[in-house]
Amino acid sequence: MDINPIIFFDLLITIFVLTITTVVLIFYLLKSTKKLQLYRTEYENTKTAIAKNNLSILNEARNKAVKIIDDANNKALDVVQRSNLFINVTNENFNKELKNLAEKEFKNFEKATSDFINQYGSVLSDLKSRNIEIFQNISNNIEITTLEEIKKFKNIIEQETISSEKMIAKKVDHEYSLAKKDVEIYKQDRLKIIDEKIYAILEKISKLVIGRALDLSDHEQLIIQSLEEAKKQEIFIKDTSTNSGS
Amino acid sequence: MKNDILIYFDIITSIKTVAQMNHVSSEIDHLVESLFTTAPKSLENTLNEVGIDTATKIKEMLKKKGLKMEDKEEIKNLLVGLKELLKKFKVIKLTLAIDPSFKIIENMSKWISSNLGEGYILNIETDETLMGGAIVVFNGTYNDLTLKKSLQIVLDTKRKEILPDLNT
Repeated sequence: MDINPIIFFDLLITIFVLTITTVVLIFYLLKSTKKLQLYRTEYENTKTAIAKNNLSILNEARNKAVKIIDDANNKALDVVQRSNLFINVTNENFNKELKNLAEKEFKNFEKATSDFINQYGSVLSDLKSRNIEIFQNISNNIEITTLEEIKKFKNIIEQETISSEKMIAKKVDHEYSLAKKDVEIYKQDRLKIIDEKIYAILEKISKLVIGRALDLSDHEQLIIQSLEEAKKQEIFIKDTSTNSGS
Repeated sequence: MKNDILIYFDIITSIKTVAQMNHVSSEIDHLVESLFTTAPKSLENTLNEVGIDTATKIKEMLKKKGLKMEDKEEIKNLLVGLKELLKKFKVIKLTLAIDPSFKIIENMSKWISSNLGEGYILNIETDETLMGGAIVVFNGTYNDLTLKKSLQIVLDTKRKEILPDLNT
């Protein structure tokens, strides 16, 4: 097989171009990688620097805050001490004044109380004597009135009781006589029913006993007796036609 | 007529009840029918078909009358006459507490013959509730002569004696 030389040279050129391109690309890639490495290093450094800066700022801020708090505490303590002092002094004065006032008022109260007690005692004893008199009068009146009322009530009750007793007795008698009549009627009805039932039972028993006690010869005798009785009653004499008696 | 009655005497006196009379009457009808049938059948053979008692008495009758088996017309007249005589029986209806035996029926018939004469037959019915005795019906007259009736009368009339006064 023979390859065309032009084509062969074209192929060679193409391969060469491709090779050159590949080398350039590799070179460029290496360069980029170095740059990237540099950037990364720089970034790390910057980051570290920022962190350090932040830390220092924080420390500074903390220190300042502590200082401010300390100052505030000191001032507060100072204020508290001053106010405690003021309270103590005020308390002492207040207690003194209060004590004086209390003593003064207590004396006044004692005096007023004793006056009131004396007055109350005298009024009470007056009232007591007057009330005793009134109560005595009232109780006498009540006693008299009550006794009279009780007497009247007793009489009324007695009369009412007697009339009620008479009425009840009359009513009881009436009801008793009605009940007695009803009982008598019921008794007669029941006796009548019992009577009939006994009678029916007696009839039944008689029939059973007589029926069972007779034998054939007894029956024959009874039949003949019946015929004789019929003859005595002249039944067979009334004979005017033939084939009668059916 | 009197002679005929004498001829019939045995058969007449053997009939005690309406049931027997009806039975003999139907046998007579059978005999009369057979006398003039087209089938060759002698009276002798026909007499073997009825009850032996009836057959014997009819043979006696024929003998007394001097008739032979071939005298069909005379025999027929004799039998018809007998049947007519049977109709003249007087019936005494008795309702009894028991179904009477042959002996009791015989004794009753004897009493009737002795006390009332011949020509009576009994029409017997049964009712156990009567207890004993009889209800006698004859010629339209009804008479209750049973123990049941007697007991009823006693219980009704002697009620106060039998049952004590419950009011006391």
